[in-house]
This record gives sequence, C-alpha cells and structure tokens, in this order.
Amino acid sequence: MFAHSCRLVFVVLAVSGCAPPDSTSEEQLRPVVPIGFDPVPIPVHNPLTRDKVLLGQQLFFDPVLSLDSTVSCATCHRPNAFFADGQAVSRGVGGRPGIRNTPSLLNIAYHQLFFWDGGSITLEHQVFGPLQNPDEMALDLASVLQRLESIPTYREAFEELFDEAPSLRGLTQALGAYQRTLLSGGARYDRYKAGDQTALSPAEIRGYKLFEGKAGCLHCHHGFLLTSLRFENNGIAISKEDSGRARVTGLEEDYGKFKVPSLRNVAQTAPYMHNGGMATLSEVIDHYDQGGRDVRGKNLLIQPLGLEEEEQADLEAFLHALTDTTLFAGMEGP
Amino acid sequence: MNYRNNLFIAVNLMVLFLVGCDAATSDTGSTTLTLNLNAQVNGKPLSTDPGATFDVNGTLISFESVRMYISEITLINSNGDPVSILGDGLTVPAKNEDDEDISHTVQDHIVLVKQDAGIDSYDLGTWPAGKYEKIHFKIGIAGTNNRIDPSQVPAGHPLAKQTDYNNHWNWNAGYLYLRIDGKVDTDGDAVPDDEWAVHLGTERFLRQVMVTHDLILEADQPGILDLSIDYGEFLRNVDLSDPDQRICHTMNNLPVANAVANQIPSAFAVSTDRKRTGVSTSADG
Repeated sequence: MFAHSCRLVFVVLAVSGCAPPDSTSEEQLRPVVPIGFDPVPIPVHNPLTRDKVLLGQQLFFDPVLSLDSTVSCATCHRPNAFFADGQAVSRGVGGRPGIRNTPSLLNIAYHQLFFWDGGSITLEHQVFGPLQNPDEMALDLASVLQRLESIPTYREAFEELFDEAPSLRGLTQALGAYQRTLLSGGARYDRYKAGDQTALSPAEIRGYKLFEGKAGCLHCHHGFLLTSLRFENNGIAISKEDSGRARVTGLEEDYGKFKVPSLRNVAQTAPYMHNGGMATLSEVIDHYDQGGRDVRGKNLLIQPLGLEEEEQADLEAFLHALTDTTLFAGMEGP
Repeated sequence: MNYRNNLFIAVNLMVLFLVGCDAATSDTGSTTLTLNLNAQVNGKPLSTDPGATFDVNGTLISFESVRMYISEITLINSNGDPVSILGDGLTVPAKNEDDEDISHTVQDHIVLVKQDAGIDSYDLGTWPAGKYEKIHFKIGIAGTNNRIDPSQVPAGHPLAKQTDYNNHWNWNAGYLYLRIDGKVDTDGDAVPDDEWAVHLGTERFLRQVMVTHDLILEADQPGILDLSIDYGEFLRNVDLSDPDQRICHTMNNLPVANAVANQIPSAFAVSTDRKRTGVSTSADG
C-alpha cells in the first residue's frame, strides 16, 4: 500500500519543491517554495519528514476513515480539481450535502485559522471536523482508531513514526504534514511580477490594474497568497444555519463574516463563495460591481464599482492568469 | 522568685516544644489528595444506566454523558493563604489572543470528571501537608489553557481529545467545560424520548466554586476530599419541557447557558453533611 503511494507523494514533493525522495525517513524536509512565497511555517511539534508525509498522503486518500468507507479527504479535495471539488457544497457519506463550498487545500500551510469560519486553530486540529461531521465522513474517533489499528500497514507505520499504536495525535500530525506539502504558485501572474512583461496579455494587464485600483480587490486579496486571511462580510445573503465567524466568536460584529479565500487558481475552483452560490467568475465580478447585497454587517468597502463591460472582462481575464500552469493534472491518489 | 521564673520558663519551653512537635507532624511533607465526587440529581444518586430517570422541575429526564473540567484547584490554609500545585507541565501548540501560533505549557493540574463512565474518584495531585479551611476551583478551562490544540495532547491526559464524547468543539477553539445530556420525556409516558443537551463552554461561562471545609492533610497519609455534586441544581432554572430550552451548545442558546452557569457554584457541597457552603457567583477568568 505504501509503495503504491510513494509514487504519488514523491511527485507532490517534487512539485512543491521538497527534499528529494532519497532523503532519509527521519530527515526533516524543508519545502522549496514557489517564487515570491514565504518559507512554509512548519510547527515545532510536527516536523515534516518524508515518512510522515507518506503516511499522511495514504490517510488522505483512504476512505476507511469514513462511516461507510466511501468518502476520503480526497473525495472533496480532489488533486485534479486543485484540491477542491467543483461542487457548490461538499457531499459526504450517503451523498449528504454539507452547507459550505469545499475550499482548495493548496497553500493551506500558510493559513492561521481553518474552515470558512476559522473555527479550528491548527491544520492538525481541523482534521477532527470533517472526520466527525455527519455530513462529511461521519465517523466517531474511537472507530477511526479501531480501523487504523486493524490495518497492519497503518499499525506498523504508527509504531515506527510515533512509537505508539494508531493515535489521534499521530493521525492529525500525518495528515497535517501531508497537507503542508501542497504548494501552488507558478502562475503567469507570478512570472509577470518577477519581471516577465510578456507573461500577461494586454487585457490581463488592464485587469491587473483594475484589481489593484478601481475594483479594489487588493483590499482583501493581497500578499503572495492573494488573501488577507481575515474574516469579512462581503455582502452575501446569510442563511440562518450558517452565521459564519459569529458561530465561533459569538460576536454580533462577526455575523456573516467568512475567511477571505486565496485567489490563486480561482478560475479552476468554481463555484464560488462560502456557500458555492455563484457558478462563474463573471457572477462574482457582477456581485462586487453592484456593491454586494444589502445585508447586515456588510463590509463598508463593498460599494458599487461602476465597471464597464470591458473592464469586467479584463478583470476576469486577469483572474485566469492566477492559475498555476506548472501543477500537473491527473493526480487521483494511490 | 528564681524558682518561679525558672518554672515559668520551663513551662513555656515545654509548650513551645509541644507546639513545635505538632507543627512538625502536620505542616511538613506532602501527600496525595483524592476527590470523591458523590453525584446526585435532586438528592437521588446519578445513574446513566438505561431506564434510569429523574424528575427535574417536573420533567422526567435521563442522563447520557456527564462530564466537566475542574481546574485551578486552590486550598486555603488556616492562615488564609492560598496553596496550589503544579501539574505535569504539558507543552503543546496553542493560539494567543491574537490567534498567533505559540507554544504553551499547561502548568495547572486539571481534572476531567467522567461520571458517565462510573468514575467518582479523581486524583488531585500531591499537596503540602497542613490544615486547610476552604477549597476553591473552577469549572472550565481558563485563558491560554483553553486555546491549546487538543489534537497534540497525548492520549490519557485530561485535555486530550476524547474518543467517546466530544470534550472540545471542533468549530470553536475551546473545551466543553460542562457536558451533560440525555433524553427528556416529551409525551408524558414516563419514557424519555427526545434529546436534551447542555454543552457549556467559552470564557464567559467559566465559574468558580468555593467550598468551606476543614481538611487536614498529614504527610504521607493519602487525603480524601468528599464533595457532592447535584446535577439537578445545574438545571434548576431550565425548563426541559420547553423545546427551546432543550438544546444548548452555548452559543446557540445563551439564556440556557447563563441559567446553567449561574447554578454551578451552588451545585457543590461537602459530602458529609450535604450542606451547601461558600457559594460564589464570581465568573472571573
């Protein structure tokens, strides 16, 4: 089982610029990041090692972690869908729909808080959310450990890596380690920023100027991830069942706020918004052009933009230039 | 005169010697302390067995999970000085108040009460021998200790993610301070049939309990602290016949969360006399 997965993870490591496959299992990997990116923050409590990443990858693609053994992490975070799933909302065991759109896991290593509402504090801790959520993998933690214990390769891997039987700590560390290798830069936008003036078309360059200027996207989508990683209310009608950040903080001021998503690969990760309520980029641009909806707590920066039709097209063209052209496709797992 | 003076001095020396001996035997050294928690529901012994029901405010209910965190345990000695002990110094990842990643060492000796598992005795650690008059503790986890990552706590530690009943909200960076739930009889047939739950957490609902109780700890003589807890008291101001009051995950039902949290201090008593003592309504963190 692990031999099969090695092929994939080495490709992932190569893509993300990690240490070569012949590094020793104990050696700490130091991902070589895309141009313009900060170093990947590796938590002290969970050093990145080759075997831990391999185990994490195996677990990521293994449906044994779901109630009916049909859903894995990769069901909703599909590698060839830029680690999103192309659905409006995720679907878990038995096809049960969730209430939120699946965010891409690419560059998740840089996030400080996890889920759309920031309700999880580390990449390791967030593992518990989908595992236990009845609309996702729906498996209780005792059963998770029992299943891992019953599979010899997992039992041996946990013993070797963590000196203990399958444990929640080991499980979360392995999955966290694997996800920290999922890096994506390599867009034409990056080449343009690095000085290659031919990397963007004239329309895309005009769109870039609008992005930074008239359209005001830069207020929330900045930095190498093209996100502030803050929580904002962008004028989407909020359903009763999902109050966003307020669900975590209990603060009225956080009602309807959700984490600002990265715009990297945005053209490949439709549909959009926390509820997957917008099918196309042009719908998104139109939403902001109209100043969003008149909802409680909307960020005051969300105002009508007055974009001309051509400007909207230029802006959309620029968003397409944020796609990583170096990321390979067809990666469906072991 | 000399004889009287000498006798006076001799008597005083003897008194001092005796007092010194007494102090030496009771105030030096240390010993373990165990909390025996006698669980009741309105005076009836708590049971989570199937079929066990309890009348709470005229409504028949059963219990399934019965858990809570006890932290910041402090004994007040006969001089009025607070005495506390350190735990095992667990160092784990955490978030500070600005949601930045930090490494945090939990110094407190924290207890996870699991009365649904039939556990009534809890190790409170090793304490200096001496005479104590009050016991203070909090129900819940305060400050940065409540912002640690439970996924990285070794199994077996009270703060580790539990595999049976959730002790930490996946969608909220914090522990469930108090978790009591079960079923409630909604149709009057004496069989609980619908769910009720009080899952209490977040700093605002941290409550301190103060119990007045003479406790003498002798060196190397295991000490016992016998307290009773009445889970019916938690629900005194909650009407579980009202569907709107049945499910409280704290944020979704702040009125019920408040009603339960405010009863926490009065739910504890010294077990021997059942007398409620030293009630505190403070909610300091």
